[in-house]
Amino acid sequence: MVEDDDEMEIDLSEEADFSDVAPPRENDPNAPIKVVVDNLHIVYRVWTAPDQPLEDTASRWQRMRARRPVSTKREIHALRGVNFVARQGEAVGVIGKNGAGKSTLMRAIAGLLPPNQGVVYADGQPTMLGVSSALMQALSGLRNVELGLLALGLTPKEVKARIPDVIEFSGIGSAIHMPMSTYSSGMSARLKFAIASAVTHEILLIDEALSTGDGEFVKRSSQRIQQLRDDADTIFLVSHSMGAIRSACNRVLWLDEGQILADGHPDDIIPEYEARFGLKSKKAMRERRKKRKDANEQAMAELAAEGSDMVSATDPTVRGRD
Amino acid sequence: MLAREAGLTRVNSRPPFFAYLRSLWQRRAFIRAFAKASVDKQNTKSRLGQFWQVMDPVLTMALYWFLFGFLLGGRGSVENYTGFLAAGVFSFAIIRQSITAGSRSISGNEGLVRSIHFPRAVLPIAVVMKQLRVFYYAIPIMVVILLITGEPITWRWLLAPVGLLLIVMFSLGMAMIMARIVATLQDVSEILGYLLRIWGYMSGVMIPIADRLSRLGLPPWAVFIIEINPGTVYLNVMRDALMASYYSPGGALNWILAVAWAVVMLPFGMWFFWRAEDRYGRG
Repeated sequence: MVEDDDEMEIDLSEEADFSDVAPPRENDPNAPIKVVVDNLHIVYRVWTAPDQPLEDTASRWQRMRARRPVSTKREIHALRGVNFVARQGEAVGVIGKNGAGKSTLMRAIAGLLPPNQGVVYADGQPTMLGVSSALMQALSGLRNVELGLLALGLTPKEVKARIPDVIEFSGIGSAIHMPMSTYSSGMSARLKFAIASAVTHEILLIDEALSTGDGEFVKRSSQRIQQLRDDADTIFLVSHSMGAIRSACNRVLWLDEGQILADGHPDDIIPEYEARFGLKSKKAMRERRKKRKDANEQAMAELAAEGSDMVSATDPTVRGRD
Repeated sequence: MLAREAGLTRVNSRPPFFAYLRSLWQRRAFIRAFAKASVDKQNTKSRLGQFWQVMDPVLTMALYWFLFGFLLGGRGSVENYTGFLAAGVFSFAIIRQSITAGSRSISGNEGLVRSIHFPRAVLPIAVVMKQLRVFYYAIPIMVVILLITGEPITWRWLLAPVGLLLIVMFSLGMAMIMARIVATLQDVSEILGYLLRIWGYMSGVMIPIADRLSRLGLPPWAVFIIEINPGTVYLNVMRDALMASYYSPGGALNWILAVAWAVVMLPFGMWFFWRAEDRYGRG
């Protein structure tokens, strides 16, 4: 199941065209330190309802005697002692399964989640690319752009100046005057990305931004990320798309169950990661796709050969297959 | 250590108090936009939107008038009972609604808190501002009721805006205190509504409470506490300013207390809220 999941996510990278994205600069081991993460632990505490209801057959008396708590406290240890140092010029890709703690790590570095143990140090305030929650569904896209840019700390004057760019980049068109509740999920993802990426930051954290929108927008956004990367001192990029990580990053952190499993150059880590989860490399995927296509064509040809004498041309099932 | 040598700072450290106030001032455009957007959002929810919020004090007043003024005969205790009720209900509604909305400002915006970095006090301030916009419409209704019930416009009316300003300062301070408490202990928001209601009753929204309680034989110190509690103080101040037919016990002393409560509560609320700045969002 997990493998299927990841395979689907990795498929997105096939749509993105990273050919014209410049390769990342090589990292310099003596560059100034920008981020230090020291023994970071994050625990989410949640109150949960009992996860199994009592059977319907239980009498009221039995229910009362069961005396189960209304809700129980659960702890989710999302990060378990993460340590690393990031320097200027590093573009760090963060990979791992769903639930490995990637997004939690990003939030903790951005200072949005208070650590339960350990410390994050940074040179300046790291910013997370994501304004999803500042957005109000009931209001128009335009109002949301305004609100989002203000939330990112721009002055009203700067907001006014940047609004046209943001709208153009999002490619939303005249729908910008409609409430966001009428947008498709792709449209609102595009708008959110356009807002969030309108500001450049020294230390930037990008969480799964590439997996939004259609192929054309993915390409545009990957170029925008390249630009952000070049403007920023240090970036962190969470993605399931190995294509995106390879093209944008010069270092990879592989997180697993809240701990760093591997840390190194993408060329060393990604093949290992792909092998571990039975993922095909890009090349293998292309080959497999080609094989599938060939098989389909062959089947069609056989069908056509059979059909020429057995099925009449008016049969809708055959026509539907062309 | 490595990090200190390189001149790095902790990411979620709490800035010094005055630096915090400055950063808050820099975000004033966001505060205003957020408040306005929340109002507009509410207006799209139901067909009459904000109208219901404006109607809340009006309907509350009608209910109190029927229950306490008509059924229980409270009308006799004051010369202009309807005016007395209007000034009390509308003024206390500002306090009540600001505190209620402010208390949920952090817990209700957890997603926002967990995705963007900004001084968190933006949220309680913005929701209180949003709540005040309701009173742009509600206050004229109160004025009309006062005029209809025969209160003349006097020079004392000039004091009413000052009283309102003090009420807002006090409520904002309270909203920030409750925002921090509810952010850590959500259950408090469940009983907050009842507490605020009881506080309103004890502060004399419906009847001149201190008179009544001393006649019921309450010890003088208890009456004194009720007299100087901010609820009673602000209602007295507003009634003194707006009504020629009513003189509150205490007189000018109320104004001193009103200023004192506002000047103490706003900075204290701000400070209390700021103390937990690095912990909001943990949930």
